[in-house]
Amino acid sequence: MRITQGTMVNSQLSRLQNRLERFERAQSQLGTGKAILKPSDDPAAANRGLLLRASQRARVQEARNGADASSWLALADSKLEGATTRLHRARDLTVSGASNQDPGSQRAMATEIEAIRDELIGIANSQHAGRPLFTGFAEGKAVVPDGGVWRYGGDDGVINRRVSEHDVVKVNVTAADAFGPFAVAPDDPTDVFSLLDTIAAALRNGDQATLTGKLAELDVAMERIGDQQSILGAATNRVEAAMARNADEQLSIRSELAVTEDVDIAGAVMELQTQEVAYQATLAALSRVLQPSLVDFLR
Amino acid sequence: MVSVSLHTALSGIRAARVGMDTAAHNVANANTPGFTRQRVDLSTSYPYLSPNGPMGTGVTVDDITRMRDSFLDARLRSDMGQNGKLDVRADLLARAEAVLGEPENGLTGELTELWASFEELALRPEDTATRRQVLSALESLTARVRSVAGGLEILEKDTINSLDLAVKEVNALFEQAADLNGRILEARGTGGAPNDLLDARDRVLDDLSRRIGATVTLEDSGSVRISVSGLAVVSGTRATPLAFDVDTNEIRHPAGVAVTPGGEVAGLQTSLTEDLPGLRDGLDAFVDDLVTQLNATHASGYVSENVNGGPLLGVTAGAEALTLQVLITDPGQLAAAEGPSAAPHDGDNATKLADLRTGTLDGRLRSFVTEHAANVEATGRAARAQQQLTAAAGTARDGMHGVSLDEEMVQMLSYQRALEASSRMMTAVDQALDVLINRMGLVGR
Repeated sequence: MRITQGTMVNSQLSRLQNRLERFERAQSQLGTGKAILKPSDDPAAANRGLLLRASQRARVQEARNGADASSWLALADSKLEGATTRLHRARDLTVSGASNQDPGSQRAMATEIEAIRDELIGIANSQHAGRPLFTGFAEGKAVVPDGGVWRYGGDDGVINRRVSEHDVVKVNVTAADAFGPFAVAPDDPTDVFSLLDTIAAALRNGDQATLTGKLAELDVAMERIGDQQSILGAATNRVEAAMARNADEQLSIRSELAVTEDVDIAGAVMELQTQEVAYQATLAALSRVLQPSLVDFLR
Repeated sequence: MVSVSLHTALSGIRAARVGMDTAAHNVANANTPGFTRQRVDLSTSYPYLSPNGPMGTGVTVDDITRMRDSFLDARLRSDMGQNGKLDVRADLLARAEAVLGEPENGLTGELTELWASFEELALRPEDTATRRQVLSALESLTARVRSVAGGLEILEKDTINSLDLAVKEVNALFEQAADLNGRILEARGTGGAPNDLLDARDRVLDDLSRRIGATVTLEDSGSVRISVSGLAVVSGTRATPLAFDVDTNEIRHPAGVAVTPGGEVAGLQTSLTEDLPGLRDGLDAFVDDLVTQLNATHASGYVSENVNGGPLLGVTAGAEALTLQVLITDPGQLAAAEGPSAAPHDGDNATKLADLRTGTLDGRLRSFVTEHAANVEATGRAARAQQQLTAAAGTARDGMHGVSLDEEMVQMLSYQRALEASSRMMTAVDQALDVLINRMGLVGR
């Protein structure tokens, strides 16, 4: 092939351009820390990156859901724990009321039982971050007085929290579950509040037979609360397990994302060095192309 | 007899001068774009029939010709056409990719944020701030969709303008080629070799190959015939302009036929008829799907007792992405509840909205993005490969046509020596004549 000065200059120039392009690419990879600056740099990896990002965002949201679920469960559990303690006290009072015949102390016991009932109502009506804890989806009070009986003011809404891709955990119990069952008809009250009312009335009247009879019902009521607490406990375990997995998953997604999208720093530094040397070599070659010709040797 | 040698030496001097002039012209034009190096064609003069046999009478300058290889021209021009087409298309596809803004500033990120905001709503359906968050996530997604669609529309308009302009420029080049054809024929008629005109025409032909992939046929008369997809656009001194039809995106020959161009024009046309509409339709279809799914799920929820959710997003059919907007401005109108009683803390419909995440929408958007990315990558790679081929063909042609300074120096030296020798020859003959004329017959004087 015939080579002229023009050919050499042009091909050196285009080589210089190529070198500069690669040099720039190595620089921007190192500067941004990203191996993929736009999807077309590597469509398959970009697709994977998009998938991982979406999955990462979902895991972050699940962690938030899980934190919310944990605080719900913890609060509900501690409230029910308080209710159980109070009911134990009520049971002790009932037992001693059944054997004590002094009307003065029985009245005092009745007053304390009523205080315990109000405390339990307070527990049933407690809130979590401004939202009623035991009413399902409904707003307002969980236990409301209604013509001498107690009624459940909420609904049977099930509050679910998604804590992982396929794990949805129920985080609430309702006052109806824990303190019920509430009476359908006013003459047949079976809830814990009516029970306490009955016990208080029996204490005031010195009706020891009723007191003894209601002891078994108190045990049933405490058992109910205990059941709900174990449901909450099981849910707490699921949430905690999911959160532990979530942390692992977030970590592995992050490292996978780094492998997919981030630049290998050591490799990139090497690449930059190589490209820089190559660029300088091309420049040196260009400067030699431009120099000599026969003109220099003719007198 | 002596005068013959005198003339022979003179012809040598003349030829050497022409040779030196040509070398000087070549060196002077070493960096002129499109210049073809020239060579002096020499031959021996007609011999003098002396009684001793035919005797040489010197040298004749036949012609000054261009060192042009039409095979290399044809090869480079076909490569240039391909190169122009792929370059333009790769460039437009890359611009469209920049409009999409993935992975950092694209639609996928906004969509993910929307799903997260629905989940937040499920956590706190009664909280107005959380509801506003959902509305702002919707607003920001729709704004991004509109801006991407707007960017694609601008790109399409730019491409239409470029195509229109390119066709006009190509038509101007047709005129130039026809004009040069005429001037070359004229110059041929007067017997000269119109090298500079031929160079100028070759430059125009190069341009035409890159622009529209024109086919060039050299006719016996010396003029070129140029055709685009088999239809003559320049024949002799007559140029036939092409017209760009904005409505159909076709390039039309006055004969009424749509031509299939090559070169940059083809790249612009392909982008305009395939790439950009494909992107627009893909985005519109995704938006349509998004609106349908979100609205359907939203409508299955309840805003207040026995009142279903209204439409969340609205579009105008035919330009979905450009007209996408959020129809709800009151955060209270978000149907977070699934039960008909619309209990204040019921966030189950928000969960259902968030669950659309696991459906087809995410995957659809992702494949929309990656399919385009794969297209950009493949076209870019083809364009780079074609650039290499074109550069190689260009180097081969430049090597053949270009001026080598070393070579010209050698030419200059050899013609300079020839001139000197011929001059010396002339001096020798002159001295011989001097002896003959002034010194003969003077014996004894």
